[in-house]
Amino acid sequence: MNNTLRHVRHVLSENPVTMVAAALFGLFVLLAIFGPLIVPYDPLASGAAHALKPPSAAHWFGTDSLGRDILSRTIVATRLDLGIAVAAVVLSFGIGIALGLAAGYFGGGWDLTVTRLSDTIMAFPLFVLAMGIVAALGNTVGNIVLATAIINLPFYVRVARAETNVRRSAGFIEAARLSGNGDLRILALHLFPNILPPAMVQVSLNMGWAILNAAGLSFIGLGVRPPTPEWGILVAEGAQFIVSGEWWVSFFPGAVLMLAVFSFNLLGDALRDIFDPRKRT
Amino acid sequence: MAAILSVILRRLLAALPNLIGVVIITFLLTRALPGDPAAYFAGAAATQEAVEQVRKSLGFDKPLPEQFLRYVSALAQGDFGSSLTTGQPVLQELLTRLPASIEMVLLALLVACAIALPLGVMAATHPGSWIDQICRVITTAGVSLPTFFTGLVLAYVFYFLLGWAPAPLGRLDPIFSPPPALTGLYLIDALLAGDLALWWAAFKQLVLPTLTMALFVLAPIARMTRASMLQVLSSDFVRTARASGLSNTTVRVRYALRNALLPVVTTLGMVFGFMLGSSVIIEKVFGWPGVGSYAIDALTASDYAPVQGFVLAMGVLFVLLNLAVDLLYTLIDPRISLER
Amino acid sequence: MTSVPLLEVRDFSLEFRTRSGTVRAIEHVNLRLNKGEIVGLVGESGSGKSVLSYAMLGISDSAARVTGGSAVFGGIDLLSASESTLSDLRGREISMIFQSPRTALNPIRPVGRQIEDVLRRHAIATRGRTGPDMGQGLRERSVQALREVAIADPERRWSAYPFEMSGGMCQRVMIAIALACRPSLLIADEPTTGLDVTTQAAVMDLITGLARERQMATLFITHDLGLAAEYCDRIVVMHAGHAVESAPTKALFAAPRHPYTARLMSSTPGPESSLASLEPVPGQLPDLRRSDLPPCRFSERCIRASALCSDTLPLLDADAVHAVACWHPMEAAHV
Repeated sequence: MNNTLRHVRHVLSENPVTMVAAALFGLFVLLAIFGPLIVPYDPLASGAAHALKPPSAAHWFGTDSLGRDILSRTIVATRLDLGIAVAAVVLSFGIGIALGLAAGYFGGGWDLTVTRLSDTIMAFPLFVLAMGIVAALGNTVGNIVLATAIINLPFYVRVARAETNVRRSAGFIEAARLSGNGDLRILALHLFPNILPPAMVQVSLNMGWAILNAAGLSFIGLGVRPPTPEWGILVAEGAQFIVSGEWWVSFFPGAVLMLAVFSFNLLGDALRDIFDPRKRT
Repeated sequence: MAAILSVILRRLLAALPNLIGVVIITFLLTRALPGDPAAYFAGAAATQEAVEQVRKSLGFDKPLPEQFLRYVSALAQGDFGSSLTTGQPVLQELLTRLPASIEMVLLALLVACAIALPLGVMAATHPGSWIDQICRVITTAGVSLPTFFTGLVLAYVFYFLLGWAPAPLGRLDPIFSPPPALTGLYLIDALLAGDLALWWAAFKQLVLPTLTMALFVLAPIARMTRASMLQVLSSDFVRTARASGLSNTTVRVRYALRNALLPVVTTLGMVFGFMLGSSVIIEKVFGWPGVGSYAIDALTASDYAPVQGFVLAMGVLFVLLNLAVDLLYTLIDPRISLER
Repeated sequence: MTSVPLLEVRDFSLEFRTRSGTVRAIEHVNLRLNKGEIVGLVGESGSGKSVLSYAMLGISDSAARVTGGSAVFGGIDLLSASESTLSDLRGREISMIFQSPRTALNPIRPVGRQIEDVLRRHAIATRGRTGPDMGQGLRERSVQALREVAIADPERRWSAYPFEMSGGMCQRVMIAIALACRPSLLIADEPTTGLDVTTQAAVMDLITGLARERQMATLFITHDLGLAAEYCDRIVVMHAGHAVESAPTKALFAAPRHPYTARLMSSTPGPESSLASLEPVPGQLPDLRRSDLPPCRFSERCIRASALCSDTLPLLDADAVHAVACWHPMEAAHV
């Protein structure tokens, strides 16, 4: 355990960018939890008098076409976006890992079905599939989560299946069975903990991707509806004003979105460096 | 010769299950609508009788497997349903709008490769240099870019601030009329018609959307090129080539680069997926009249047949593109084409 | 009567800068190679044999730094020569072949073309001839090169890819590439490692046969004493970056003078050895990053060591026929 901690500190200190990413990540988590409590204005309070005002001391991010404070709306949106992404990733992770473990462990029919399912999902451009799922199931936030979870399934299936297969061909599973362990025990106590490190790397890399997906779907009008603040919607609300020069309406939410995704991705890279330095590019 | 044909055949057969899967999933999506699917297809203003009629004519009252067969045979006859809002057959509208999307995607791929390939190669041959740093920044930051954000920023900077780019209003400024449609790609058709003013007008409109998409896919291509080139440069056979006195250029191009590009080609499949997905968003931002904006408009109007047709078309297109990439790879790697 | 040696390495030192310290990989090595001589460079893994040969050709790892000495070949100091000079020499005057022949060849290029690449490179440099007739000439010469390494049906094999050939055949191709321009020095870095015994013999016979025929000097790097004994005129023993003994093969095996050489021999199985008679060399190779390494790097595990060994570096006398770098060498053979 000490060695891991030392290694973690080594990786973190080696690359200052990683420290920045970790700090940003922490900031976003805090904003998600405490955001609505610390915002200067009510994110839904509109006032035509101060519509489309550029950034100023009173409104750091300016105001939108309904006079709402963009900073407040952006901060409050953090909870929704992060919440959607976390829910989607947790769902993906849970189902994907379970399926992948089953495929690698039992082989045969399980393997065939799971692989087919995974391949079929990946046969679509993933964003398009998400669109189709939300369109088919209904335009709600829950379905955004479900759609994002479904399109991310293959990544977790792949990780779990690959790791299990490696251990299976190394005789690991055979040995565990011979020592009298039942299937469930082997899966839960022996295989799952070993899968955790690469799976966690996948999670952090996926989080950024999930946030982008959710924001993208909202941008084109799926899922979250105005006036609920969500980064994609905030950018969409400001899109029409770009051509007339009111840049701040879209810019700040978009920049914050980018920063969030960026810090998650950097964190994912750092995690990957910690757990498997061979895969560094 | 027979060997290559058999390999091609095998690849085609391998793509078949994916095509079938795409059709099945799209079918399931059409039947997954909450509530009464017939009501959706009949439209919001339909009477109870009209809904029943639609239900019978579209076969919603039959068991699922039979519905699937009807669905497949309808597809085979080119019947993707009709749009409620325009009344036109979906397939026809998709085909009309497809060239717009394809033109943007292809041009973006070209631009992205033109930048990412040399960038990745130079980053690998000059490790630690400023090119290498730039490459790393692009690779890390590139995958974090939300396409809609980049598109809007580019529109703001280049249209509003600098006035270099035209207004993001579609494929052509309204004063121009499109060239005679031979390929559907305005750049090619304008050239074929010899109309340079038209070509330039079409090109100007293409710049921003293409750039937005190219920026998005720069990252994976550059990353793969750099990683692949680095690996090849430290391989045994490159060492042998240097030890034989071959010139730096020969070693880098004929020995290293050709080998390094092979994994990059396989990345193209994945890259196409990203591009097809992000094209939807880019079409919305720039008012581009492609299949993506067609689907979005239909979605907003709760018009489902076009959306389903769109998802199916994209799925099929993606499978075919992957197949094409696969076949390309098969042809250029002698280790595979000579598989006995 | 001494002729001018083909390659004269004097006082050669090289180090690697790594994250965990500076590795003094080669120190004060003297080595001499005469025209037409087949010399075996023998030592354990990590003794610096390959590092030395890479440095000769100027293809060392980027972390390597030459810290002293010279390696004179045909009047040129290889260690300080420019990249373009070295590039002209590589493949043309000095060639190298490597182990793992299949990975050492370009996997997506026909083998005949790889030979042509080398021919073209050096033909242009020396004769400045280009044009259509060159293409034909190159093709014929490359087929001929394949024939010279005893590859059957060379015209057909010309367009084959490495993955279609056996390991032994790939090695022959590599030899063909190396020898295509008739170099005067061949460095063979463990060329038979990874090949089965029969193929090993065939490849070694081929190399030494061509070497004799063309009066080509060969530096044969190996960890296999037995192989060196069978094919080399002279053997240089390396230990931990030092050249510790150099002698004609027979003399070395009859009476090794450096304690390390003796231990190496008694740990190498021969036709009459029994498991009991084999003795491993005691201890381990010293960590070359240490700053407190004794001058003689074998002294810490040598039973003959004295205070002198931890004080001054014994050097190899390059002029002696049987040279040894040791303050307390074993008995010389009595003629």
